[in-house]
Amino acid sequence: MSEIDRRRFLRLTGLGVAGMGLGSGLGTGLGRGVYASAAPATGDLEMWSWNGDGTYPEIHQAARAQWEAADDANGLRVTYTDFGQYVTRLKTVLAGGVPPDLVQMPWAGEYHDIIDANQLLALDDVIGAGFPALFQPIMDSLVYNDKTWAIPLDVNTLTIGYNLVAFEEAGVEVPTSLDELIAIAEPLRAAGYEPLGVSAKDGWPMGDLWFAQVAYTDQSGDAIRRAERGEISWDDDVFVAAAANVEKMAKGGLFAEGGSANDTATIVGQFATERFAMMYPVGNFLTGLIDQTSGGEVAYDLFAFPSPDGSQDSISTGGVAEMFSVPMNGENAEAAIELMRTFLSPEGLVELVDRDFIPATGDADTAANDDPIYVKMTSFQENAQTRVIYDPEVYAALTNEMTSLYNGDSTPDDVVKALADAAG
Amino acid sequence: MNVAIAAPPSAAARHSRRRKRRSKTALVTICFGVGAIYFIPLVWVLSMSVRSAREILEPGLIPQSFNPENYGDAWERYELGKLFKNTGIVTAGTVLLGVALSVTAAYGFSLVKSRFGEFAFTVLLLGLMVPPAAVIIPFFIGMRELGLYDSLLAVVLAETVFVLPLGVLILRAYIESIPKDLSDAARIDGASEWSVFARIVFPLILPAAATVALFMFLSAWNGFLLPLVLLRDPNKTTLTVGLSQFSGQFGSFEWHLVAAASAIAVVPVLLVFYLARRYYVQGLAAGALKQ
Amino acid sequence: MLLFIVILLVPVVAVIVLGFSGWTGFDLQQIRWEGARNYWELTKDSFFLAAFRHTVVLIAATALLMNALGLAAAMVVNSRVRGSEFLRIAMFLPLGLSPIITAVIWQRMLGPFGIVNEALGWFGISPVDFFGQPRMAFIALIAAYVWQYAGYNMLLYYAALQSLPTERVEAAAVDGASKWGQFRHVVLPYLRPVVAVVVILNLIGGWKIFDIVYVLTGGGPNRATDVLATYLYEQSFTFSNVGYASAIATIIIGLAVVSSLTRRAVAGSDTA
Repeated sequence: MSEIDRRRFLRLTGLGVAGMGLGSGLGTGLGRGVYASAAPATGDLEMWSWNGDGTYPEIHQAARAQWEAADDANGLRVTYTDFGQYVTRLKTVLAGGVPPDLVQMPWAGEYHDIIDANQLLALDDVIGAGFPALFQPIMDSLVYNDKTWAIPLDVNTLTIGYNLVAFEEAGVEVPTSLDELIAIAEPLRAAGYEPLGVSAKDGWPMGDLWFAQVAYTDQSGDAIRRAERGEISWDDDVFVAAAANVEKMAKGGLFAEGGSANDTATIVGQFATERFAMMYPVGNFLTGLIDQTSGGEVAYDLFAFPSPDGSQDSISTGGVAEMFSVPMNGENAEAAIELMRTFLSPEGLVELVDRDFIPATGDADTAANDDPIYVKMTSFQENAQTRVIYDPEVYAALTNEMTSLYNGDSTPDDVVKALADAAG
Repeated sequence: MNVAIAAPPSAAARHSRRRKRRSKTALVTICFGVGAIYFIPLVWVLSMSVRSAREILEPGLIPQSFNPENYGDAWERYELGKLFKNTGIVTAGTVLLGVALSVTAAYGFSLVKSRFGEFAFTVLLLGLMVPPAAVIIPFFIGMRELGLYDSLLAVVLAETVFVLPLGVLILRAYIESIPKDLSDAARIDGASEWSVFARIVFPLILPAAATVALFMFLSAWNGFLLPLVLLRDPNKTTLTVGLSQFSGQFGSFEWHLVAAASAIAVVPVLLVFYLARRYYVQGLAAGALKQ
Repeated sequence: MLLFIVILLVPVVAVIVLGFSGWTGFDLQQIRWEGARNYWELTKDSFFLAAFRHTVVLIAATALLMNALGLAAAMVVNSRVRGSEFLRIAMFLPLGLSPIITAVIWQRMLGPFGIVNEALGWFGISPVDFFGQPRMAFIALIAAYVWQYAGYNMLLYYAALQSLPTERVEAAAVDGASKWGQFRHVVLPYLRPVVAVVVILNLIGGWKIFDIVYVLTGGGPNRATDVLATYLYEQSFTFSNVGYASAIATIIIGLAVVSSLTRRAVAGSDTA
C-alpha cells in the first residue's frame, strides 16, 4: 500500500492500542475512589434492566419519580433490553469499559463470571447503611468469594397455577402427592383441558421442574450448593431421584401438548384462554400478565408441587427476582447506590407490595396486600428452596438434558451424567 | 430469417402447439401454487395484525375480528416513527457508501490482474466468512476508540464493512462476463479508463448494481447484532432491534401489535422492490453486444 | 477503500489471535496467551463436533434446495408466463423480513395447533412434534431457511438471465435446438460463473448461519440443531469463554475460505 496509507494505518493502530490501554487504566482508577462523601450522592444516572414488560417498569418509574424529586441534580434513564439480548449487551458494554451506572444482574452463571472478571463493585460496606434488613438466606446466596456484589430488590416463589373452573368440571382437587398429581391428568383431559403446561422451548422451566423436585428429594436443603463446591458428586441419588420424578410425570401424560414448541408467553396464553388447566412455573413475574391476557376472567389459584409421597407440606422453589449491581467502571457509583436505597425505601417497598411483588426484606408490610394470590405466594416465601446453579455450563447441561427428558429422549441417569460432565 | 406464415398448420404443428399450451398452463399453475405457499406465512402475519388480543392464539388463517386500529396502536406504542427514521438513516448511508465503494472496487479488481490483486480480493472475501457474533466485542472496542460508540455512523460503517465483500464479489463477476472487445474497442478509440467505465461498463452492470443495492438495503434494514451492540441511546434504536424487544420472551402477548409493526416495517422493502423493478424490466442495449 | 480493508482486517486478525488466548472477554489486561490449547480442546469437544456435523448437514441441504428452487424459479419468472410476477414477489418478500419474525411465524406454523399440523391432519397424518424431536427440528430449520433465502438465489439467477443476450438463444433455436438443448448449450454455460458465485455465497454464508437457528430452535432440542455459530455465541456470551469462542470463529472462517477455493473447481478456468 502507498506510503500515506501505511502511515495512516500505523497511526490508527497505535492510537487504538494506546486508547485501549489508557481507557482501561482511567476507568479502573475512577471506579475506585468513591466512598468519601457524607451527604447523599446525586447524579444523572442510567440503569439497565430486562424487565420491560409487565408491572416492573411501573416500579422503576415510581423509583425514578422519587429519585428525581429528591434533588434537582438527579435524573434517571432506564434502558430495557429483552433478556435474550441483555447478556450480550451487558457483556459487550462491560468489555468496552463504558457501562451504565446500575445494572440488573442475572443471578446464575453470569453473576459469577462477571465478578471473576472484576467488573463489579463489592457492596458489603454499604449494605448496612440506609438499606432495610434484607433476607439473610437471599444475601447468603449472593455472596461470592466472601463478598457481596448485588442488592436484591424482590424475590419470588414458583408454583403451579391452576384453573378453578377446570378443576371443578373435572371433579378433582389439589393433589397432595406426586401420584395424585399425575392421576388428575386424565379427568382434566376428559373435561376438555390439557393438564399441565410447561415450556420446553425456553429451557429454563425445564430446570425449574427439576429444582422443584430437588426441594423434596434433598432433605438437607443445600445439596446443590455442596455439589457446586465439589463436596458431593452431581450423580448423587438425590439428583437422580429428582429427575426420575419428572420422568414419571412425563410418562404419566401430565404435560400438555406443545411444550416443545411453545415459549412461556404462549403457555401463559393457553392458560389464560382456559385451554390448559394448569401451568408452571407461575410467580409474580407472570400473574400480572395472566390477568392481562385473560382480561381478568380466569379464576385461578396456586399450589406448589406436592411432596412425592404426600408426607410433608408442600414447599416451592424461589429466589431473587430482580437484583442490581454497580459496575466497577461506572461513573457515579455512589449515586447508583443511593438510587438503590430509593428503590428499597419505605415508599419503594409500598410500591412493590401494591403490585404483587415480594420485597427482599422482612421490613416490608406485605399484609397490606390481601389479594389471595399474593398471600399464597408470600406464604411459600419462607421455605422456598433454591432454583439456581451458578456454574453456567452445568446449568446449561441441566436445562438441555431436562428438555430431552421431557421429550422422552433421555433418562434420569443421563441427566446427572450430563451435569457431572459439565462440571468436570 | 422470416418464416412464411401463409401455410396452414400441420397436425404435427398443432400437436406441438398443444404441448406448448399444456406446459404453459403447467408453468402458470406452478407459479400460482408455489407463490401461494410462499405467501402463507405472510398472510398469517397480516391476519395476526388485525386480530384482537384474545384471538392471538387461535389457529388458522382467518381472523374473527377486524381491528385495524392495531396499526395505529403499534405505531405509537413502539414509537415506529423514530425507529423508521433511525433505520432509514443507517440503511441509506450503508447503501450509498456500499454501492459507491463496491462498484469502483469491483471495476478496479477486474482491471488488476496481478497476484496482489487476487490476494487483496481474497482478503476482502474474508469479510463474508466472519461470523458477526465473533467480532462484536473487538468491533465495539474499536468504535469506542474512534469515539463513534452510540452513533448511527458507527452502525453505517460497520454494516458497510460486512456488506462490501458481497457487493464486490457479485459486481466483479458481472463485469467479467462482459465481453472484453467492447471496452477494448473504446480504449483503442482513445477513451480514458474513467470514460470506459462510466459510459460502457456502468450502464451494462446497472441491473447487477441494482441487485447489489437491494441486498445491501436488506442487510442494513434487517441488521440486528451490530445496532444492538453499537447503539445504546433508546432514541437511536433501529427497527429490528426494536422488534426483537417487543417480541421477546413475554412479548407474545401483544402478537397482534408486533405483527402490525412487522407489516409496517416491510412496507419500505416493498417500496424499494417496486422501484428497483424498473431495472430488471429494462433490458440491456442488447444490440451493442452483437458481433 | 484501503481504510475498509483495515477496518475489516483488524477484527479478523483480532479474532484469530484471540483464538489462541484464554480471554474471558472483559478486562483487556487479562488476555493470556495459551497457544493452541483452545484448538486442541475443540477436537475433544463433543458439543463442537456435533455442531460441526449439524452445520454441514444444514449447509448441504439448504444449498441444494435453494439453488434448485432459485434457478428453476428464475427461469419460470423469466419466461414471463402469467403469475410469474406473483411468484417473483412471493419468493422475494421473505427476504425483507427480519429473522426474528420469520422464526416466530414458523414456530407458530409448525406448532401443535399450527397450520402445518392441521394440514397434515387432512391427510390423516398425526401431528408432528417439530421442536421436540431432533430430526424434525432440522426439517423445520431447513424449511424456514429455504423459505426466507431462496428468493436471494432466485434474484441473482434472474438478474443473470436478464443480461443473457437473447439473440444467442434465438440463434440456437433457429439452428434447431430443442428447449432443453438451448438450455444446455447456451444458458447454462453463460450462467456458469454466476452459479459458481451463488453456490459459493450459499456455502460461505452457511458456515456462519446464526440468526434463524438461534431464534427458531435455539440450537435445541438439547443441542440437536446447534450449529457452529450458535455454539460460538453460547461460548462467548453465556459462558464468557471468549478465547475459546474466537478459536471456533477462526475455524468457521477457515472452513469458509476452503469453500471459496472450490470456486475454481466449479467455475472452471474461465475466470482469472
